[in-house]
Amino acid sequence: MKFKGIPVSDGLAVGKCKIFLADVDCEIYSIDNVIREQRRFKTCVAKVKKELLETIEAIEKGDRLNGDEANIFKAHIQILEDPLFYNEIFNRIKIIKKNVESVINVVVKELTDKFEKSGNEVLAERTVDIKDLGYRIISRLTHKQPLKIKDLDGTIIIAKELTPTQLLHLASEGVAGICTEKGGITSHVAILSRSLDIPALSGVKNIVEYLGDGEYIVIDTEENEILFNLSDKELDKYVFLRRQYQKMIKKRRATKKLSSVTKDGKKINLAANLSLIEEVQKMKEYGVNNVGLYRTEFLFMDREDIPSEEEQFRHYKKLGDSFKGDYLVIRTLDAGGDKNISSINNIHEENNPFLGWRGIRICLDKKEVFKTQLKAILRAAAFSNIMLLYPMINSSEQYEKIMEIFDECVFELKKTKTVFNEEIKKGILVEIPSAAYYMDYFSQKIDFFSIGTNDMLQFLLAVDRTNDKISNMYSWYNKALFSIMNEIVTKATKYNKKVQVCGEIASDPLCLPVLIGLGIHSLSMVPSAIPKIKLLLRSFSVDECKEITNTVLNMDRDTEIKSFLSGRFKEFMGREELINEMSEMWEGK
Amino acid sequence: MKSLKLKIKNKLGIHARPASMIVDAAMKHSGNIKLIANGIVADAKSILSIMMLAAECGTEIEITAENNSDDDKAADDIKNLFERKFDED
Repeated sequence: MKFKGIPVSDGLAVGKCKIFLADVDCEIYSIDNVIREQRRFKTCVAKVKKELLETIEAIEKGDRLNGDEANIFKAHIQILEDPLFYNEIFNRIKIIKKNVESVINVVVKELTDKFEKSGNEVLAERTVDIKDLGYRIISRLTHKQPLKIKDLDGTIIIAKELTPTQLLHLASEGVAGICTEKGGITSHVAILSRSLDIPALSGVKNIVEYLGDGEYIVIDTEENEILFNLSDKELDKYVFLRRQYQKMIKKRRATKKLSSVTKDGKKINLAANLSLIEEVQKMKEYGVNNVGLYRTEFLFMDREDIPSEEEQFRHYKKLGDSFKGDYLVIRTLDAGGDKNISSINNIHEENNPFLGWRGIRICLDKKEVFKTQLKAILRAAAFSNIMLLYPMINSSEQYEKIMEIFDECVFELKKTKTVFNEEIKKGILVEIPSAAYYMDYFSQKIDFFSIGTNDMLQFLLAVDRTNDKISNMYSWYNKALFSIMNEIVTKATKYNKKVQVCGEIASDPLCLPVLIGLGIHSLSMVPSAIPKIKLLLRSFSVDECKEITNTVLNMDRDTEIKSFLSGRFKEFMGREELINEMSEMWEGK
Repeated sequence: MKSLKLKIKNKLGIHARPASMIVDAAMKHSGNIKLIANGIVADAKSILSIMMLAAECGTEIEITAENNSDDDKAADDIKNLFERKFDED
């Protein structure tokens, strides 16, 4: 079993899980001596302030955290002394004549409610700071250990949400990983766990209710997954992988400066598939300069409204500004299939969502949504080399409709004298088999092709790979897939158009020579796969690839193709000095 | 008494960090310093009340300073932070 999340701090963690319930329990009792209770509060606040100052000093001096984190705790001191917090608690003790701990809980609750109800996301995120302070003061007052749980060494903490103080305490206890329901990539937990090198996953819904203390779980930020109910064998594999992880990361970074050329000097573009702007960082670490597929769905998810043209424009522009590269391919909204966007579609109402209302079909029906996005992309393209990619195209008529809408956008942008790039490069995702039969048409209309092999194979074989009963039939060592790819590339080449592959096959080392042999010009994949593909690429020549491709195209059986490719792969692995470099990178995979 | 108006220029608006910077600046002066935005009045020495303005980019904001020996300086100090976009963009 596994849940998906957003990776906020990279790494692999294996361990027993511990559910961490953050609510601060405290007794509630009436008091007679108001002055004494207020004094208790005052003294404690002074201690907490001192503690915070020490934390700040330790952060600024220390080498574990990089200094920016100190700002979090500086703001905490300001909140501590804030009249809305301090005076409110101080005065409230006199009014309700209850012990200070319970008063703190009440005031914290009131303040966080106000923040959460503001509807302002940034504000709502900051409630964690107020809760954190409440937690800190109460822990001090009750002389309880900041965290009641002990023996956390090597455990993975599961929580709805963690405050910065809690996280620092957990880190000092030696936790192995963190998984939270709330909090995104910019949250405190994200920033701190990255600095502390603790693997962390956020945005995993309902995980607290799902898991029990003591279960063995795995956090794998390569796959953005938290896994549980694992067999001993699977656990062993992850324990092994964890050991390899740090070594692997080092190796991967070491490939940064190598260029992606074959042994005989042909340059192949290697690019990243991204869904989040934050992933650019990882991409840069591996020396990748291009984005071959940017999925825009995340911009539309988890919200009630459609992001405005301005918001989208700023997002795409920021993305373009965030790296220096040759190109950034932005795919227009590809909702549907397995992707629900509450403001747009509901796949549960469809009998057959993968063959249903998805991709460009939705955009052509919801013209305003499409236009808003197109305009935003066109505008951002004035600032960096952005290219447009339309998903799920199946016919020439569909493309005619796209062109009409595109022209409308251009007209409207011109009318309002907005800066944009009319000459933006355009491509289609060839992922529906029928599109391959319109290659002459498309080659005259567009600038490049990208083959989406995941959907292409699913449609070619009529196999739903999420269906366990038949998923073993989903194999890309397949004659039909390679043959249709061959047709696509041959046609495109006739018109001098480049072809990219952006499906999972692009990161499969076994298939790499076949793709190069077919004449694929660029490969786009998850950033973490790029280093190994780059190294392998450097070990063979284009002629060797062509020969492999020709052999494969003449094979009928999947198993035959796979074993042939495995054999060649082992041969490449044994070549020259690469053998040491690479073997470690592949172990366990 | 000194009062001046301006528009928020930094993209993210007044979130925690800018609010924290405003408090730092306000604490250097005695007297009452207030920020007014969206019809809400905030105490410039209270980080929570400033954050509760939920003031975003483009929002018009008024800074007032009174009962202070150097009202002008107090208001100007805070205005400078806005002009500098809180060192963000």
